[in-house]
Amino acid sequence: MRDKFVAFFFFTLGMPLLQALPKIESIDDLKKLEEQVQQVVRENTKVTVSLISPKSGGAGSGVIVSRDGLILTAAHVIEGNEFMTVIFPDGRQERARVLGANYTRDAAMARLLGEGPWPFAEVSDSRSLEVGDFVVAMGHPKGYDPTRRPPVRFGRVMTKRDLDFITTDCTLIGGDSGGPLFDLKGRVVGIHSNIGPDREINNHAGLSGFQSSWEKMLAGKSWGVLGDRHRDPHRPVIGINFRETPAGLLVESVPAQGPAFAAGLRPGDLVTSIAGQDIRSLDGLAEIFADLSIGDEISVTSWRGQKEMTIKVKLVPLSEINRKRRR
Amino acid sequence: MKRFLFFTILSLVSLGAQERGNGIPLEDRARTRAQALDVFNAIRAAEFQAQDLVFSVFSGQTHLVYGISMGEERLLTKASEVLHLKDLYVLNQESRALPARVVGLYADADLAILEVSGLAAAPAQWANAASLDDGAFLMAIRPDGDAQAIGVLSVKERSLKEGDQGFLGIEIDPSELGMGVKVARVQPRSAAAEVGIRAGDIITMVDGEEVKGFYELSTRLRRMREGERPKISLQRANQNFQVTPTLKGRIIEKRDIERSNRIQRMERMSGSQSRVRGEFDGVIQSDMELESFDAGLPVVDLEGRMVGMVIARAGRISTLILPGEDISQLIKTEASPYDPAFRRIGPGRGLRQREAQREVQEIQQAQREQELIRRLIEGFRFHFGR
Repeated sequence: MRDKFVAFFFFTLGMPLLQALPKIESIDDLKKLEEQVQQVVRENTKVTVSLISPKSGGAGSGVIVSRDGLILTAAHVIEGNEFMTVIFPDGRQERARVLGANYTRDAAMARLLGEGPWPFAEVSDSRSLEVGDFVVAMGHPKGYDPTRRPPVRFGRVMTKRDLDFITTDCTLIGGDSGGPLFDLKGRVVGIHSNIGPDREINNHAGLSGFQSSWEKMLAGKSWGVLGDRHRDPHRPVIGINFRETPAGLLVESVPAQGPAFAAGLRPGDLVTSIAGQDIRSLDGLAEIFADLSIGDEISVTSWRGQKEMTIKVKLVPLSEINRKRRR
Repeated sequence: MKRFLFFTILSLVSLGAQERGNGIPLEDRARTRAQALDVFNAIRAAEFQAQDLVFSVFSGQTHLVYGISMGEERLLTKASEVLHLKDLYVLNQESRALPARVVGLYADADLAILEVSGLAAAPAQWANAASLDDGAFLMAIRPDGDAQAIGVLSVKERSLKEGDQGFLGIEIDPSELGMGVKVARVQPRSAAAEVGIRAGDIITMVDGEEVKGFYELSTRLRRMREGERPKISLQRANQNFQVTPTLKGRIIEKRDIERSNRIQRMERMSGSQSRVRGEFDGVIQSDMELESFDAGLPVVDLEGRMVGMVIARAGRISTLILPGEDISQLIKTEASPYDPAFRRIGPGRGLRQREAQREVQEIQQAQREQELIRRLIEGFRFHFGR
């Protein structure tokens, strides 16, 4: 019943936004759109680089987003590498040092080693993207090819997914991974991650996910796992099993081996905020934990009866709690 | 009209429900479908002239490809999809079946001329595709005036023919030296072998410009054509010297024939592919999502100019288009007559196969020689060792 209400609420809220989408009703509308797409391509061809692992020869793509040579790419492109060979569309070759990566979001950073200034693209958050928004994908499919510029693909946001992933119908293939998805203003809004069986399913790590892990990646930290986070036995946890209720997240059980128990949390407490962010749902919880790694200290605010309390807990690997439990 | 639209949306949505595996929520799907319909309606309303010049080619009950009018009861179509098929016919504007037969070929471009008795259509006016920039909108127009697909110009005209590229014939050590690249192996009988480049040499410059690494070198070489003579600066045992090889066509070795399985699997996740889809000597690439049987459709830009013809579906991200200017040049030349015994379909294929066979034979011969030498040396050791 509640679900229906929420759906209805979002539907009515969504209506004015739907009206706001640019409507294509004539060839003239298409011509305006074409001009915007070509502008994006003209400005961003030179910032779309091919990244090659000097160890394996494996090839992906990346995009330069600052004058001092910061490159955004996919975590699975740089995995296992300290340095990457960077090839510009004109064939110029440089080197980049791998910084950090959030594997859960398939997000990573590297920095060009040579002297700048480098050409770069602006970035923008991806949460404001709407289903139906037009986007442009570039990259170096099947690796760097000196006979062509990075091929242009045009499409729309088909749906938005958990952890800021975006699905578009801009067709991608191997080698595109790590390449940029642009909005019509030429700002990077996503990084190519993976594809589905259907041509309409091309998944990109949204820039909002990069932004929430930005400082940690820049500082050289790597964490998380590719694919389903819940299948990682060593994922960072605080040791609380939650249940979603209309009032918020209810603590259902607290294993005695975990840090949350030691900090005083007990079943029946109602958690309202984690790591400084208000939290009402399990989806929101997954979003917060995607940016956290083992050893991070976070605050947890909860209510017990009329009393509010805030505690600090350090994240531990899930496997540690399970091991202690078996003993 | 409204009822028609309503129906289409509904049927598409229910189709979406069957495709739940791909996980696009129905409300999102409905929204993007409705948006796509707006775009396709705008294109239909424009009534591009191309729709009167394109016809569907059939054999039996099966639509094979499309053909574009050359005037005088003739159509231009994709050769490899119609050759050797019996009882070809073409549907005209009134959906009447008109018998058709192949009367000429441009084998290198994979084009055939069909003679269609009773077809009344003006010759297509081909426009120049060279003036289009990356990201230009392109549409493939069907006989009913609808766009079969809309896409963008992904890659401007280029040759996919490897034979046009110049090759030095070396393999490079992929380890990065910071400056210059190390030759790992020299192909026998290659341009490099002819001027005495050896494994272990370090290439420092091409035509006086420094080479930072493997990709800079290969980019510079691959942009050169067969017969070009780059100046190559080398370092061997702290000696610097220069050679000027004459680049040759590619020497095919057996190990080059293997292709990445992973890419092939991804290509298959993307609908049908044309059997003949490589080695064209001048094509533009688009992201239009078409199938192999959409070959022969005219491609128009937003001004309605006919800038090319769909010649192949080449994979998940790629539809290949013959540029208009190339087609109009080609059809001014005389087509080769069609001989039903003729088996060479597609660009340069017969030639390539013969070349490849000869190369494989040569490699096998070289391997036999090496094996013989190895045995001789071992025999030598056996008899006289220590």
